[in-house]
Amino acid sequence: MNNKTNKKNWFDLKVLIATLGFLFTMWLWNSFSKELATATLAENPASNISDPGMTAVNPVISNVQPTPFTRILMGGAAPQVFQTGNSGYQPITQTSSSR
Amino acid sequence: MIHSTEFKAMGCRIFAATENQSRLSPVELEDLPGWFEGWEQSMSRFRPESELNRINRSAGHPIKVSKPLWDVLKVAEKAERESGNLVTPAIHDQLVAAGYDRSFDSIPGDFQGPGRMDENETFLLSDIQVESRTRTVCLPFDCHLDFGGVAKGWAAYQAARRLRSAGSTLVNAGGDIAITGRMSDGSFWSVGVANPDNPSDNLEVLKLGRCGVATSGTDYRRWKRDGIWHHHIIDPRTGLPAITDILSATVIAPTIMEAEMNSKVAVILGGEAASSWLEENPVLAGILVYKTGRIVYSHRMQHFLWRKNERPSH
Repeated sequence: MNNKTNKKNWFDLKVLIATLGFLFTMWLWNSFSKELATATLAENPASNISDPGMTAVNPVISNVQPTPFTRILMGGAAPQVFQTGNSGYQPITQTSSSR
Repeated sequence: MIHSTEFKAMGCRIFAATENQSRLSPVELEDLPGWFEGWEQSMSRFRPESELNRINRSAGHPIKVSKPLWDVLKVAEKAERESGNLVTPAIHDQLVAAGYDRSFDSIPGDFQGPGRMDENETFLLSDIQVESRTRTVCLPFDCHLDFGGVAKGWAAYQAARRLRSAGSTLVNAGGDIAITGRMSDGSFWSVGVANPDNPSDNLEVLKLGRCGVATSGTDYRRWKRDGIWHHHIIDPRTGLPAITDILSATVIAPTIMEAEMNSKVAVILGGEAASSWLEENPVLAGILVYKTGRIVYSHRMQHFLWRKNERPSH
């Protein structure tokens, strides 16, 4: 009986350690991802939402010569940063004003 | 394997590509120039004997029209209705008055020709009498049609539809692109979005399945008159070239006809109204390039952009 209780306590302790470890990892992850997003925005100060009247629309805005292959799409609660790969290969065709 | 062809028609470059497992090019690709020639002969305002010009000369009298021209008329009616009358083919006279009175290749860079640039009355397709049963059209006096981009988009759509039996197909008619679907292995077609300041460069590369994509702009079909730049996108509300802060608008839509119409609306509306127009329609995605150099991507555009390290198969 006593042996069983000891086993149960040890199991609970392991679960507790695993949970704390997981929470600590998630906290670190969250902290670093926020820092990365802030740093990217700082490197590209021309990117901003220019018109406060556009709140219903929230378009994605960048300057004409953005950091190469980097776009910051403003969507949802936090900025989504991703890279587009518009170099390294040729598209099969191109859309432009009637040519 | 991708089979392709390229030629000139409708005053622009036509490019078509079909993807299938065969090493042999589909015979339909060889028929493509003939199809475009037939459509151009019917719908060009720069060919004196075209069907469109016969209709334009018969204003006030009912005239029976061919099936392709009737279909384009119906597409144009839909575009006019859905654009809130901002896109209509009944702006022929305003285009001529602005100086677009001949094939674009023949317009000199700077000319002083005659033409009235006053605000003038514009017609709408709803002013035209049509009889579906007999496919007859009767234009009001002083009303003339120019199908322009509508005909080009329709032609790209028709060509892609005819070619799709040979495999997944992409048809590009002067920047208006119709795609029948992804390639046989499920991969996307990649299409560049021209940088209006340097068209040999791409602003973005899009990954596209079944859809239409079109770009309208004031950056290319424009000319100088009396020292002032004019362009071919007429605002029917004024009868004059649209006063807009947009240099080019690229729109992705379910069909090329919708993409063509909505890209034109975005240019005419300009300002924040253009991005609102794209955001409010859930089937549209777009990139707006403003004259200031600002580039606005609609939210849904992110689904169509290649991420770095993603690779197309072709």
